[in-house]
Amino acid sequence: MGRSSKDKRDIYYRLAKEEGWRARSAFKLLQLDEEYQLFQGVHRAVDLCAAPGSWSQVLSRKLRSSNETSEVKIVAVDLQAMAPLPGVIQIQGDITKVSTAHEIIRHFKGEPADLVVCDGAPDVTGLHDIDEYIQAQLLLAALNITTHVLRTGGTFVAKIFRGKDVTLLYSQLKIFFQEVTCAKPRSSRNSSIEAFVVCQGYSPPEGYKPNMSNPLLDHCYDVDFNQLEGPNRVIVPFLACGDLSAYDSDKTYPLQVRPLLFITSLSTQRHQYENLPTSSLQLDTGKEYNYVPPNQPPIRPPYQEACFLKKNNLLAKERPPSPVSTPPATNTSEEDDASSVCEETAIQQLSISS
Amino acid sequence: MSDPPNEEGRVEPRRRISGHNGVIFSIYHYEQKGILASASDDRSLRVWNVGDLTDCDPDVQCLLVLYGHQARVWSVRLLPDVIISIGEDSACIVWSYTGDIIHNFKGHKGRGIRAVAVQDKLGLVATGGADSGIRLWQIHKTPSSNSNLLNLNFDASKKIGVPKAITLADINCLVVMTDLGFICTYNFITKQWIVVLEDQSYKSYGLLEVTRLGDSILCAIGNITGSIKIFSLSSALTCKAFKQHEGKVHSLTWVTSSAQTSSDTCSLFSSGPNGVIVWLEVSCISGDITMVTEKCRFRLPNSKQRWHTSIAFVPAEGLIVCGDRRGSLVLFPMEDSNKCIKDESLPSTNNLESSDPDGQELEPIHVLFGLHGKLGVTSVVYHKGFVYSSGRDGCYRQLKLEGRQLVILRKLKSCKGMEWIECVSFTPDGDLQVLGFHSTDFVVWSTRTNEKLCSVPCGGGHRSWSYKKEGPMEVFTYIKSGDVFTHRSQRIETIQNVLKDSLHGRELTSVKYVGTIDNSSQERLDVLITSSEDTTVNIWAYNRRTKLLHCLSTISDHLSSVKTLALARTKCQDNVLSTLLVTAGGRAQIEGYRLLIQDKEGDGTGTCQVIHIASHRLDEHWDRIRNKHRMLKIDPETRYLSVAAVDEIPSSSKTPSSRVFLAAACSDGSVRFFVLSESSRQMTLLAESFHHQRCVLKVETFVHTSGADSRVMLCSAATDGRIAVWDITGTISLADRTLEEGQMDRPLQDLGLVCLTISAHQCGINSLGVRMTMDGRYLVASGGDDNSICVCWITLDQDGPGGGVQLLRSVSPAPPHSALRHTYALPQG
Repeated sequence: MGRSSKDKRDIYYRLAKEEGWRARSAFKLLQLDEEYQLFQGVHRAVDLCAAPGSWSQVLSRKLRSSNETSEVKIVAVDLQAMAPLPGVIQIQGDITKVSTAHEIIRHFKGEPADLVVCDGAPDVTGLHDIDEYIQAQLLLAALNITTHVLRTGGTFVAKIFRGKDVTLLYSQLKIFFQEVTCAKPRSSRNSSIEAFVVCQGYSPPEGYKPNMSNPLLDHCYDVDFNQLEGPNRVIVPFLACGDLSAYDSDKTYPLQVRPLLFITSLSTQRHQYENLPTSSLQLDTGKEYNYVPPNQPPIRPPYQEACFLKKNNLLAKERPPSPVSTPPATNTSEEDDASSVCEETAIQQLSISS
Repeated sequence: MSDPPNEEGRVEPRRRISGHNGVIFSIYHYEQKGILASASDDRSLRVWNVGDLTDCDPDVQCLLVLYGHQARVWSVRLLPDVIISIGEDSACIVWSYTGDIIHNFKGHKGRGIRAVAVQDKLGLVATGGADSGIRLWQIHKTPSSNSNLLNLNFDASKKIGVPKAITLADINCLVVMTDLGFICTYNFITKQWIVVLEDQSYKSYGLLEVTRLGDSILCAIGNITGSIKIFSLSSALTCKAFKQHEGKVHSLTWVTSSAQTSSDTCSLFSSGPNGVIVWLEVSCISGDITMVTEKCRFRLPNSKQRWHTSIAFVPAEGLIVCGDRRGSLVLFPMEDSNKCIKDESLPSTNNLESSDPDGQELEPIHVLFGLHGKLGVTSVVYHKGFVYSSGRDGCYRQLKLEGRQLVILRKLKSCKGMEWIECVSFTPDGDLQVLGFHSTDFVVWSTRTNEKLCSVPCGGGHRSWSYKKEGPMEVFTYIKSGDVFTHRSQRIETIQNVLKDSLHGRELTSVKYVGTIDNSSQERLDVLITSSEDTTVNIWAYNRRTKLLHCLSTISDHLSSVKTLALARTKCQDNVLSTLLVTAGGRAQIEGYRLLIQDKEGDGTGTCQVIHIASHRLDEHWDRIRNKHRMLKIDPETRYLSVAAVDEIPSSSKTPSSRVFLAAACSDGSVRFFVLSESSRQMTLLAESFHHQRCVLKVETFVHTSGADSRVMLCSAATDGRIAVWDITGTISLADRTLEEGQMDRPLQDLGLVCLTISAHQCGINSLGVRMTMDGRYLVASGGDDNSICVCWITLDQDGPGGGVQLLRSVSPAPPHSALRHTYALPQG
């Protein structure tokens, strides 16, 4: 296991580093955009739970390159600190607070946003039910703040864990959006339960007043809801997005294979290598594999001091006391050691003292 | 007692306590002491002096900041004398109020301890792990009162030299040999050194071995000229001396065994030059050595460092198992030649008798050469029908004797990072303990509870050391920089450490049902196998009456996560359930085992004998074929995500039942085809195909029989939502032919042509099942990551196009809500 083993296991991880993205998740938004043209006509975009900032990077690169004028505004919100990005306004704040919503609108000079994206996820516990529940809470919190800042007809994209009660979430999103789709980009691993809801055409119910203390999942949970059938049943179409020729996030690629840069491969080069065996076209044996370190390490992570202590061997340890010398035996039967070197097999009793 | 709310209806905090660099996961208030503890994401716990909380403006001070956990700290408890914390590092730490760690309880596997309960009066801590195990621990309030490290100040007298070899005769008596040829003892009770013997000819090089025989303590010493002395500690006057070897005595080993003719005799093995081992039988009655008999001579197989390191008797088979410095296990007959009885009637005890010149050395019956690697075997033990060996390769092995040959059953490892195993031993209650050095500590590791029973920070890797345990008292002694150090401690045994077995340390990846056996009380046991991302595979017996799950065995040969299991050739005969298990997972590793599960006499839980048949690693495979072709080396980071065995043997094929063909779904985009041969204990890669070009997620096989013809079919499914159907009949018959001809080194075949491709899903296929329907068609059902189930009917017709495999119909029922993880095609009716 070397430092390159993650590069071998995950092509998107390697690509992200080579293309300068802060996280591999950048490709998920790129592939979602490829399917839904999310960025068309977008001037004001909000990235919720933005740290470390890969989605903000995508917004910054995509929106600012297509709009020559400087009217594009991107606001990134996170509780944690995030390294600055060109063209991205940062708010270190809480998405459950009205003040944060107001601050976003202030940055947009009173105008509502065209697009709100959220790739936030809790620290997964590994207990799927809990993870799904917390993710749903997070999504609804993101929806709540979105209702404060999104323009009518705007788009909302958020990460979702497809658990058994996901229908409940879909039904709540359908109250606010004309079209709700569940999408899984090719860069999202098959082994992960994550997917993304793409909610288009924001149209809140008549008379709806945005309110931060909207109860989240708890209030209308109905066990029978999931069992509804026929027209009552909430069906959200599923779409796998990203071309089939896109890299496979579950596949192990050899290091000798030099990945084609993603942005270019998306548009121009895609058709050139479609249907060709991987090993023949992308193999570039002339070029040595070079390890690229991750380009945005975490800023002041909570474990920083603990790691420093561990590295310097300063963590508390379970240690018995250092050796104690035994006092020399008191019973000295023989003083003259020199003469006591005696014949073989003879038994000598002497005490060793200093 | 909360304050009245303010105008916004909220209660104002009186005081904000800050200091942690991360989220606080839990707090604990100890009212009597007026202190509060907090556990945090920053991996520390803090203790705060909060005083009386009813105070309006309490003066809060941070009393302690405790860093000791290797990951997030979940919870903390305060007791009168100690602080207890649990964390994501699976450790439960007991702290003193001075900030020192008293205990660091480890034993839970995987991702942390989630729950803790404390009983202060009894000093008990119960922890619940993410591994679903529950453990009970005993707190000893002070760390040093009953364990201490002593420097025995041996160097006080330079006249008898510096210690070279030490060994404990019992927990109170230490025997030391010095570089000036002195043997002395130290009594831990009287704290007295006694010189027992001095012999100039044992200067600078000397070996010392001690054993207990009845009430007497027997010592054996060997020197550079081939002489050996045997004496009892109580009367070293009756010392027996022999010249046994023509040169340096390389090793000495005492073996006491119930097979010995009487309780007054034991055996001494010594190795000399050229691999000659001499077996002496020593009789000793109340401290007097009455007789020394040369039983036999053996010769070790040729190697550079040709001497034994360990000996065990297998009385039932009349055999001796010997481990040598070259890492080999050697089997000798226990031949009682008795031809050269030493004349011990001679009056002089100082007489050096020369060895019998016509002594014929017996050659080994069977050798497992270099089994434990070049660093040598460190111990061999015979216990309840099995031989156990340990070595400097960091492994211990279980073997059995079959037809006077040693057969390796399994290779095992103790705790992670313990690469220096010195010996394995069994406690009277059957726990296998592994003794060795783990980084700079001497460790006694229990394989039953998966924890360190004893850990002494001795610096690690000592040439001469000794460990004895009697009752709760344990003593470990070693030589370090010319001095003798002793660590004495009192281990307090808790009644039961493991209240509930852990299931797995991390996520489960696969479960297989093997079958049932009946135990002695006529209860039915269901046998299950689970695999997990924690790199292990567990074999379980589920008692239908008691509803208890009992772990029969754990396989931990995998380097990375185990992703998939397959069973073949399962049968139950005479209440012995036998199956062939294939495990596969990360790092392109695939392993094959024979499992024999039967009732265990006495406790009715059942036992499982695990026999490792063969393994295959892609990197080793590529190393073997390196430079043969200029080819793209696919990296061994490849994961096997699914394996399927061709269990049904078509009547027309020549496959013997000891041979199993396996298909594997690989993350590098290939479907690989292996053969596992139980008779030759080999696993060989036969064929591969990169048809899918995507990560392959699932494979399934089935055999289609029409008339006298049989066809073996393979279905594979990938992340692009496509299912491929292959006809592998030809591949199998070609493999059978070449295997019969004994050609093992063939080039890889191609897996053959795909008969049919079904685009079943938008993205990855998580599950796949195949069943034959009544009308002779096949139903292929799949569940996808796109929330859908797809059911197809296919037909196999010999003459049709594409191998005659046709897709008849495909339906996708209304999508369920969430991503499908598993589907299973049920048999009709």
